[in-house]
Amino acid sequence: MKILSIENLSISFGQNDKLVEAVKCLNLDLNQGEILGIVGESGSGKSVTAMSITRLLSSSAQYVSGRIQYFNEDKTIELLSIKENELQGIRGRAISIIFQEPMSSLNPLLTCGDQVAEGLLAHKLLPRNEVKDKVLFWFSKVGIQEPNRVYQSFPHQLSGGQLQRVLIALALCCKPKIVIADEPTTALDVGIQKKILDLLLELKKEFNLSIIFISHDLGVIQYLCDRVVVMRHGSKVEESETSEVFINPKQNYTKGLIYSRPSIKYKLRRLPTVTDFEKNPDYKNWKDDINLINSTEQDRKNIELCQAKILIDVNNLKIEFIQSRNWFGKITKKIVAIQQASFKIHEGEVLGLVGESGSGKSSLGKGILGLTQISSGSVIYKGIELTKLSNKEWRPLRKELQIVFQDPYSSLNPRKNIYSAITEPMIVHQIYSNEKERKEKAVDLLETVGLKSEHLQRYPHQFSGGQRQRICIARALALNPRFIVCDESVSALDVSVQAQVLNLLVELKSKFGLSLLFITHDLSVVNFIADRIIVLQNGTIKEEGYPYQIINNPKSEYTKSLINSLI
Amino acid sequence: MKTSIFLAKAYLMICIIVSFLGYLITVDKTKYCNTQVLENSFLDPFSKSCFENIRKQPKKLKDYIFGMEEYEKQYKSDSPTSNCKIYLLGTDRYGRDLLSRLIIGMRYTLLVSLLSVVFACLIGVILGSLSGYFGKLYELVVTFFVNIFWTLPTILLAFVILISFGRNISSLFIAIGLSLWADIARLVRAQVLSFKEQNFVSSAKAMGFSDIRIIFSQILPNIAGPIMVQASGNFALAVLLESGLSFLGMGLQAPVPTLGNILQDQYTQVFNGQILQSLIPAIVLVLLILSFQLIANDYRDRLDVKLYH
Amino acid sequence: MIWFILKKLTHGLGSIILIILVLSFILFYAPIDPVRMSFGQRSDEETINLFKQKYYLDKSLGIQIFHFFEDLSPLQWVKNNDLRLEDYKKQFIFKGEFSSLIIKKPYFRKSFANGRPAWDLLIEAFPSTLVLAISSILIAIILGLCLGFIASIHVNSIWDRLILAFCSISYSIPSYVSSLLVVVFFAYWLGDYTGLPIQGSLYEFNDEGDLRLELKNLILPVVALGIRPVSMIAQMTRVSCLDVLSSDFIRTARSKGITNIRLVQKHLIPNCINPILTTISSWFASLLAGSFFVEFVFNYKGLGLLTITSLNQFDIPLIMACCVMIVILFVIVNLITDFLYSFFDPRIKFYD
Repeated sequence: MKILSIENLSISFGQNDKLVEAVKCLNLDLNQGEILGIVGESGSGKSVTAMSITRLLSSSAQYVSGRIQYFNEDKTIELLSIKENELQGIRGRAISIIFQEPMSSLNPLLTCGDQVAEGLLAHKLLPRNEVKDKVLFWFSKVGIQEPNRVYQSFPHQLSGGQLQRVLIALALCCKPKIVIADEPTTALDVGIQKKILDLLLELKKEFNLSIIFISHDLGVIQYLCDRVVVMRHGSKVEESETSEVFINPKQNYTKGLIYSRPSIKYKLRRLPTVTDFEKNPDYKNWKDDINLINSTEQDRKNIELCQAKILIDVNNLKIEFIQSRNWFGKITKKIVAIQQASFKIHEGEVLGLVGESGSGKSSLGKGILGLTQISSGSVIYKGIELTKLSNKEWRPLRKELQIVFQDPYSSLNPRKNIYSAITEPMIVHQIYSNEKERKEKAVDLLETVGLKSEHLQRYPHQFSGGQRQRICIARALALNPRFIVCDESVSALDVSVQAQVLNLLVELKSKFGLSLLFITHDLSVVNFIADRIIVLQNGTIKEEGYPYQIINNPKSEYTKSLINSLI
Repeated sequence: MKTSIFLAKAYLMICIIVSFLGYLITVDKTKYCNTQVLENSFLDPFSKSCFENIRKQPKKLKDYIFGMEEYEKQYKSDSPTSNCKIYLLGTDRYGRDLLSRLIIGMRYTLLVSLLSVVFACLIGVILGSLSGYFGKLYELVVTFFVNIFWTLPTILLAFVILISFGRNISSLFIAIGLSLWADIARLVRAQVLSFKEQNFVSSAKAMGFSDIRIIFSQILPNIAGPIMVQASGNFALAVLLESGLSFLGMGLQAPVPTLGNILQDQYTQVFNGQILQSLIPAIVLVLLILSFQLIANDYRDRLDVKLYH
Repeated sequence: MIWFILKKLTHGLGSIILIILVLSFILFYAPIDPVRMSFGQRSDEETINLFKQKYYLDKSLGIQIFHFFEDLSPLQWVKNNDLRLEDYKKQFIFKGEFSSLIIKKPYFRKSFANGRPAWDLLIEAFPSTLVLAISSILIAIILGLCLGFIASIHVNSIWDRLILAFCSISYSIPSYVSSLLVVVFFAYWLGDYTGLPIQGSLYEFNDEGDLRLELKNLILPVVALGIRPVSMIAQMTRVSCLDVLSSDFIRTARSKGITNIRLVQKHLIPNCINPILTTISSWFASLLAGSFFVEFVFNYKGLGLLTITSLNQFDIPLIMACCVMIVILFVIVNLITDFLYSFFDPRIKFYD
């Protein structure tokens, strides 16, 4: 039975001259009691569609065409044309939304309890004196440990996971028929993500909800949804049952999306990408023996690597951040980011560093490169103790040790074109003697990372996220480094782009004989790229080993829980 | 481009060109346009007056730029054939040509404002970026001074400096500049702090760039926009302060004309029925401040910088 | 809480002392002889020398500043033959043979110009300025909030543009020009109908020589003084309202289906108060510190006019007293603002 139907919906943003079409002629139906997943990369219009259902888009949005109908028992309500005050009766009561950013989605000046109670009061479902009990009931329902404390807390006093639960309670407290979940787990760590998803499933069963679940993560969709809609550039690419989509995707784009995700189940030489499938619709051999790395080969490679020279040797590294000092400059409060970390990186090896947010993995990467103050311990590179070097002594070594950051948008100076971004480090280190050589080298590097020479004169804002990350890699390579720290280098990218950049990194590694320290929160990515893995929790190394060892046979509890929470 | 911004820019251009030309276009070519003909005081606009003797004309380049040093007594004559001139905006109480004085006054006002804004920007950018980038001791010292200048009503400091060090151009622009620098330093510091956290600065460090190079070639080009917005807003404030100080008699002293001096001279004329002449200096001044303000707002909207808070 | 207040107070006191130090350094360093300038030709060499000796004005800069601070300090160890002792309102704590410890009211010395204690002059002038500042900031708050709110609700409409245009223009009118315009319009052209005076103070002597409260004299200065704060508060209100309206939690609140009135009352207004508060407090502080121009044009006898007069007469004790007063007012307003911030926003803690 249909409960919601979207017909021929088109939405545009902006004024006449700069009109951007966010959603193009979209048709969508939601049935009673099902979970419909909408999946798509950034800019596919999935969130815009969701927000348009109860007309929560900003005033710059224009509903160009189409209608959205909500079927309530015997009545049909046209959501796009009813009056604002009628809509207020539907928002929260019949159709409610779970938002993406738990931190910014709650009013910082009101207690969480008041904000949930507000919805109940608005729809006059209960007498005023019973509202608080109802809110507390919902708080315990969504798995909040101390409902009374949370009721009186302001949003800044709670963690992201707790706030997300408050948001779920807020969406469910009026017992709506339809719940729209807009990437509710994206901002959360893997461990909490799974709990929240299970909670949603449970609540759906108990209250017979119909859910529209929006995500960019195919794994989450597969885990949760009954039916999937794949969106790209504002229109629908494919729609079918979840099992059907994941076993037998019809469209090339969907195939690319599904197969380009690295997996923990197997290790590939090269990830298939969307372009592979678009160029060659019958591209099937991405998982054949040539592309697959089996365990005997992994073992052989591991032994080879172990015999290689040690490039970097980290001993008992400790990193602390000073949080506050008293009036006399004495340290009163400090945060330990890394406690006693020791490991080695061999020449030509990729070491994967896995940890959740706040585990200190980025500090560790920066600490090795001397970009963060180190409290104690040593880092030895080719026999040189790095932690004791002055800025001046560091300078010649900077050529050999490089870093590529997570966010490609802030990694490039917006005021410098690509040419000077790549050549400035060469000038500083006086690598090439003249302009011409530097330019040749820059063109060469751009072509190596898959860009064209005419891109040289452009500025960063003219590139997409994936292209920028390629530029960052090219810039890091400009100095002919031996070792690169990749700090979550692919986390901010869409799945299809992520696969391309990962392939590029693997290619470059063997071409230039690089060693990498690959920092990430994603076990499947690290399984694809790394030769060896370190698992980090709260600043301590929990486990160290080869990928298949760690994934198939985790020793520490923490690693086990990490793997179990993978979807 | 919006009409108001276009008008503001046009007005500003006219003001700058006119004050650049200065003595080349004024009727009164003596220094500070200070030819006093007491018989001609308080003339209405467009009134014509004739003189017996022919006035000296400037000869050297210096005369065209700074005005003629020689003064010469002029005598009125009734014969229409003699040397006549028209006072387009009338005259002030000493019979000086108001338009000429306004042009030269504009020159002095703009000059003082420009100097003080440049002075404020220099101090603000240097101290702000040092404290933002290096932190520690620099930060302590700079925030200390910024706080002092924030707790102090800026005009009070200007008063004290002016009466202690004399009411001349250099102490005037230092006084005004000192009341403006704290805003710029605060802005630069905040911007540097936020850019310092950006990955491209960390990348530059990882590439072995020196700190000075990072500040000047990586960070400052990025915050040039916000600084420009703040500076053009400060230009408006500088004009306002300069004329205000002159209005109270604390600015440049007579016979140097500035917009504030002229305003103070003229404003009582309103009670003698010469509305136009008393309001013209005020209108010229308000339009000048308004154009700077509009241009600053326009810059800000285009850059989408939040300068409030 | 106690610690918060103590910390703020010590901070305020510290900045007051530092600012006085800076100002006194500039003033005492000035390459002029203020005493001679103030006394003019009237007095002979001997009186001037005696006067200078009394206040240590013949000594070096450091000693001058030291003795100035000594005058301000409530506790003082003083020699019994010190000439200043007769001017202090004091109580002896300990009386020795040559010197004694006294507790006293901070002493701002006597005005050079008319010989009265500077503090008395300040106290006389202050109420007029206080009334002027409070009434103009109240009008500015009411008008500014309304205008800003209307503009932000009808953003990009004709009302919004009109209000923005009004704000830009009125922000560009300096207070000396605005008071001029107000005088011309209301007191000169329409003077017969309004009956408002061109100049005058809050307290005026009447024919019998008594001080009388003249509320009529307040109206025009308030209008002239309020114009710029109105535009600033309106602009700030508009910006921060738009800012809050575009934030995520407003969308969450709307998704709950609450009414627009509640949305404005519970979610919009509380969140835009703090930035507006900053604007209001800084304007209020500068109005309190003396609306120099308006008081000058209207000849309104308040703190501002007193400061300007003292500056023009090189009346150093009076200048210093005015500066100290103004700085103290600034610090007090800042303190109150800090308390209000933490009152409105739970994220700002009292102790920290």
